[in-house]
Amino acid sequence: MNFTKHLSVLLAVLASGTAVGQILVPPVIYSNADSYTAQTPSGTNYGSADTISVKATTTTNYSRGFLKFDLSGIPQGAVIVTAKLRLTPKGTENVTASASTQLYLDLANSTWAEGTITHATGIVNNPNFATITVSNLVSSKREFDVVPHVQGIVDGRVTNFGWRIRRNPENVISGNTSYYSKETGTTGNRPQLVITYYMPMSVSAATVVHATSVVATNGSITPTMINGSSTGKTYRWYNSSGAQIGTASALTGVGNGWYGLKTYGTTAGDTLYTAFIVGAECGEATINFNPGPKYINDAVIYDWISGTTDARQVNNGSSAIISADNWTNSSWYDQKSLLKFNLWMDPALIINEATMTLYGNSHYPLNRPNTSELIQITANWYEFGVSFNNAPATSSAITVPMPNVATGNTNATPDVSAFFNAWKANNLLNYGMLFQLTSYTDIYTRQRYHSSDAASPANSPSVLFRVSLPANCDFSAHTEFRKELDGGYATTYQGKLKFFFREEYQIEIGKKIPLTLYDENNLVVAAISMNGTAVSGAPLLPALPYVFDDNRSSLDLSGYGLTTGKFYVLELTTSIGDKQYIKFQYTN
Amino acid sequence: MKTTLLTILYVLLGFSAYSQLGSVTVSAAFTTNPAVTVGLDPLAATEPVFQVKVGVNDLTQVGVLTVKVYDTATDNYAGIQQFTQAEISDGSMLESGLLVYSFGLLDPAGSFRIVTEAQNLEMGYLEPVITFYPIH
Repeated sequence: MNFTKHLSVLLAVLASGTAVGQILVPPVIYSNADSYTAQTPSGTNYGSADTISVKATTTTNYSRGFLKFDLSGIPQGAVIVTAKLRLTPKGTENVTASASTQLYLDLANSTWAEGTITHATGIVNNPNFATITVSNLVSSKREFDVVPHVQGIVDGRVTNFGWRIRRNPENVISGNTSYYSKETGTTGNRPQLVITYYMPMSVSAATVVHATSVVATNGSITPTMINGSSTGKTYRWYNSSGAQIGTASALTGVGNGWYGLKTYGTTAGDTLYTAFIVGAECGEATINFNPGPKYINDAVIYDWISGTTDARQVNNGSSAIISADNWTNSSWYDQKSLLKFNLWMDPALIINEATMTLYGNSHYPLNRPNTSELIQITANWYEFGVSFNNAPATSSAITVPMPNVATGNTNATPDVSAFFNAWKANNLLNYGMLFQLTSYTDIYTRQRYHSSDAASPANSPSVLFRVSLPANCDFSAHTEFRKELDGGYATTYQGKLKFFFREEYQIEIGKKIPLTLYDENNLVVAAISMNGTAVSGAPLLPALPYVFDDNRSSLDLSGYGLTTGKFYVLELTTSIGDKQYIKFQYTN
Repeated sequence: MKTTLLTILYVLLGFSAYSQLGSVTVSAAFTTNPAVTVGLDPLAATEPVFQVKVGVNDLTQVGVLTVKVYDTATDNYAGIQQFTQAEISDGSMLESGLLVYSFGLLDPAGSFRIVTEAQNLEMGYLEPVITFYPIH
């Protein structure tokens, strides 16, 4: 595929957006700087040569190659699927074709320039990223799989200083191995990097229909997914017990609680776990959100350099702890931790409680209190891509104190409702929270908890929610008519008065409950006779069926111009002419 | 005469080979209260530490020695340390002729891959030595 075709594919993908998910194939990236160095003569630069020489000419004299590629076209956050660094041999390669371990490829650890680099420049490898020790000859090109290196650069964990290629070992004389450099006339022979990637899947929107009561099972969840590696996605819905309950893109017929959605594409690793909360109308739902590692992203970021160890580049997404730590390991280090619950909450939900439980794991306020805090993260990050070097931005606009805790394993139960109230207003801004000491002053202290990757799932962070929905339910009781009024009174709910009386005599079918409504001045507001007709020209009250024995009705008074907060009296005239009353305060 | 010259040449080559960095051996184990505490924080010394012992045929011929410890489960690095000739000749890391370095904060229940890279005085790499803990 030529450059134009690659570009057209990319543009087509970009034009159509990646909303449906797609593996992107950017154009081949050719090296923008390359050279080689020789141990002897150590001061000679070979940047303008059309070859890159990699060999050991004596037990102490060797040549190494250096290559750079511009990766700025790959967006941060991209998941690298394939990344092949390819070199074209010039002449006899003198390297085993398949699964060769005679060439080693390292990330370079400092900046260099094509026109000045020499052996004496002393460019060493980055020891924090594993050396690529195996290569293959594929379609007449020497090919290295450099996914971990490219992913680290694209994540922003490590600066792109390019690669260093060397013979393994360098103290054993090898044949001459040369590859074409970028100076060669044939474009296809130049060092090249061939990458494919996709943008991680995410939920861009969701419609949550809540259950109509705490016992109803008529709720539903309809998410909208974007990105990922493929247009086709597979859906798996789970209840809070982990049982699979659906395979469609939407989940229906569920009661209040939390539900997990696993969505995955056709590429290994392209999997997203998102949880949703379904509330209940006319009731408060108590939900223990204890989802385990799949629905929680957490990672420790580590500001520590010791010798050549640079932990700032390293991802600790699989750490079994979340820690706010100021300690030493040969030298002082700072640890902070990121924690995000992948939970989508409908903005309509009212959060009455959101209490997080963190399970203690070896707190140690050795020389000072381990007073810490949770603050809001304001930018995206990836559990297995984040490190200190590319840590997301934060804001103290929401800060939850984490007071000093004594040495040991005391649990913490901070109120995190402020976070979830902010995130439910815009779920796309749920980037989680940062756990950190309030100060890092190189005095020993630490506060530490189990992460979602804890060996025991019971120790994973969890949140206890009590959620409800805006009041839309009539919890008022039926008020019984009284023969005499006293100091008590009823209230209406949304303009309706629910009343009750017992009729001791048989009532002719079709009769209506005879009622008269009076205001505070004892003036008739509206009325209705037993025949369902108006009384003395007053406005007609609703006609309610009048029956023998138990009469329970709801009288809608919203259309009579009643004033909220004012008191009124409803008068009942029974079949034998007795008068009974209810005093009530009107609300609508 | 020819035999004599060849003998001299073999002797010289033998000396040359002997004076080069040639063999590297590596072992690793968790231990408490290690004799050599280079790399350890004093506060961590009472906890089990991961101790790597490296033997080379001629310490004076080591340019740089790099010890990388990777968590086998994740392939993330668990500790990396490099030593220059000056640091090695200092002697503080020597125990019975072996270079000893301890990594703190590692889980004794974990499994690790140790990659030891020796560079000669010209900074050329020897074949790396890969060791596993626990031993495979």
